[in-house]
Amino acid sequence: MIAWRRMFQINLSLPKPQSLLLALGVYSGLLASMGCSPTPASFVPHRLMTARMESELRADLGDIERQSQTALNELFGTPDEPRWPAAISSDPNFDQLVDIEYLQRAAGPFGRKVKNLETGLFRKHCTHCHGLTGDGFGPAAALLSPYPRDFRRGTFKFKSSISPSRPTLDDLIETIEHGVPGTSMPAMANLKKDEHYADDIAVLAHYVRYLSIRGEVERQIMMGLVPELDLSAGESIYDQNLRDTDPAMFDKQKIAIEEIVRSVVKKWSDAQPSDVSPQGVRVDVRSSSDFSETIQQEFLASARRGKELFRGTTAACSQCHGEQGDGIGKIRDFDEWTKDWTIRAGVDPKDPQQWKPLKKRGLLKPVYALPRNLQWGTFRNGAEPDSIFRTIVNGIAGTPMPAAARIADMKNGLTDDQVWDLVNYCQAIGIPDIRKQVGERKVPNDGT
Amino acid sequence: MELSPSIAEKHNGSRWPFRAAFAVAFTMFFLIWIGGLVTTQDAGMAVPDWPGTYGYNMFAYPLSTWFYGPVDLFIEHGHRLWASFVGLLAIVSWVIAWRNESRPWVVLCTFVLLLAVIFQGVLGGVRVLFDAQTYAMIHGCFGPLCFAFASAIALFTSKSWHKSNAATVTKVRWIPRLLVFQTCVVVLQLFIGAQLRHTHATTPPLAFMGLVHSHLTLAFLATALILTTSHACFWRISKAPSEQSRIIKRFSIFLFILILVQLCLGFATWICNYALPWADASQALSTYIIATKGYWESWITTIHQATGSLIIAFSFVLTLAVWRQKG
Repeated sequence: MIAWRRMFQINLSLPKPQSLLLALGVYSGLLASMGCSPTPASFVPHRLMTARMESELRADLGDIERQSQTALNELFGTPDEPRWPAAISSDPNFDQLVDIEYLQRAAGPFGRKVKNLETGLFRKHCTHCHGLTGDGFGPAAALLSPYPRDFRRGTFKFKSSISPSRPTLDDLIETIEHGVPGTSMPAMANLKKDEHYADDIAVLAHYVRYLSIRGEVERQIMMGLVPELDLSAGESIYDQNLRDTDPAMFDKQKIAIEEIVRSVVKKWSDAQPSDVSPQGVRVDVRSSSDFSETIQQEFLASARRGKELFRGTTAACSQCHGEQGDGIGKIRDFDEWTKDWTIRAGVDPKDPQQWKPLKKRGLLKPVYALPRNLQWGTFRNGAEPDSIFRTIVNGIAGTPMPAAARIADMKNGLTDDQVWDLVNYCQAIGIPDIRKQVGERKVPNDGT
Repeated sequence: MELSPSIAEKHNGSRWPFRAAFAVAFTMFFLIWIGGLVTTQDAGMAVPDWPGTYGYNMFAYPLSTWFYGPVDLFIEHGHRLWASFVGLLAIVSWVIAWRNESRPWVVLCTFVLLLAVIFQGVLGGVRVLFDAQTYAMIHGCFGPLCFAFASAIALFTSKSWHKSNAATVTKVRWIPRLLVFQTCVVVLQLFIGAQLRHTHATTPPLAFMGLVHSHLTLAFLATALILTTSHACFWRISKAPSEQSRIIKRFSIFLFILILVQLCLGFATWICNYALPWADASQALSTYIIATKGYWESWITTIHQATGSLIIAFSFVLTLAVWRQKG
């Protein structure tokens, strides 16, 4: 107490200008320590991938990770100054894939620095959850359920294309515009209502594509090139010192990486929406105009057939979604993003002792990918009959929801008619009145 | 500086110092709303230069571009214009106090407030010129503190402050002390809230989670404190027959209501921004879709921030009022 008093007295005894200068100095120091201007942003290396490869190869890959980042920065630029790989931008097959002008609008800190044009849209709308790198490790990520998508795998759940393939640009736009119900992914449809923000959604979709391609290239470099190196002999994947000392080797490394870029970009370029079969009972229960008496009877008959398929062994939907479609099935599994850094890296996701050390590398607590409670009528991939059809035949990429076995692929698979029966059953149990008519009861306690 | 004036203190009868101080506090609260909207709409850098606006003198910026331009530009430029108006009122308030106020320390307070308003304006400019979130956060924290100070000046110049004497009303010494602690807690809550609102893109998820948990813990602590002090002020102080007691009673009721509203707003703010992590718990949650920059989403978040500022101001003013009467 006495010491405090003494200190107080000393401060008071200072002449006023000195006190002010002292206060100003302390305050300026405080602000200086916080930084006066934004530091240049940089992409975060895929540390979980490095950890997995280090575990597989039993080697320290710190240098390889740095080389990989150098190559990626040369190809794709930085979050403030994005670039589209030169080898791709000159290729007529791929030059339409990402709009450079859109990339520049999405990148950088947000604001209107040039000609009243808004830039930094990704940081304005997305980084808080998806992170600057699109790694799904933004500041809010750990508090959300489900976790924000990690774009770097190239896997997107909600799309119209067949399961392993990449989403189309329209798929990305659809998700950004309409959001994902029951999750933290917002609908940005409001932006389209104002002419000043009308193309913001397209800008973001292009940037998501860019981040995803960059991330996938990074992943392929580590998974494809690194295992082939003789690490004990000091081999590298992209050593800039070789540019002068061994230009032939340097070119070889550069070409290998550019080939990876081409193969990744091709997957995105090939993405096409899958067909929806016109053969079967196609009814949109949410549209009253579709629901005449005759159609209603046809629909209910189809839905009842769908109920049998739902519980049968071919479609086997009830294994995960439960007999009543309430999401309470017998099987629980993790999604592919979790499996990548746990099961495939020899780590048990159910054992915290095993996965906790990976938290500092960017692992979020493993959680189960829960099957949808269909009785609530919420279809995250779209509630239109065509979207449900596609979800059944394509599956949901990255999740335990598989593509349905179809007659075209296997002898006892489903016909298109039967897929439509399943579609109609899924629609029917989502609406309480119709649910009763197909002989389904409501789940006790509202399905919880 | 003597905050508790003597009983013999004379009041020259002019109501203008109070009117001016109240006008500053009132317009400042509205400024805090607009400032909150700037953050909610990420409009802080909608105008990249300062003190001008796109090369124009701020006051000469074409109305057509302002009104019919993008929303973020409309809000940010409006924030600057309104801030200038508040600055003007702060000058007027100081001049009026200087000419009409018999208490030198009140005149000094109005001058300090004017300096604080100018500093806050410069801070806003620095935030733009350096394009730094850290300055935005400091700017966002300093605004509510200015508002609390402006509210205190309105209290000092109010009729009831003049009318009441500083005679001992209560001997319950823990109430003023607890009020000081409560004010510190709500100010700390403001700092954490500002950090949540100005999170940098590279902030690690665990750090953000820590901030959220701290914000929640302090929310419950602040609620418990306000419920306790409001109850104590209402039942133990405000029953005394004095003009000051009437103010204390009013403020304690306001604070009581505000903290309950603020809790609801905080909960709603989280849902509007992140949804609830238990989407499978009910059909309503499973179908809920957040709307980016939606009308309700924006207003709820902004009102939550503005109510926080109001709580700080009320808590500070209540503390001063009670402190003046402590035994």
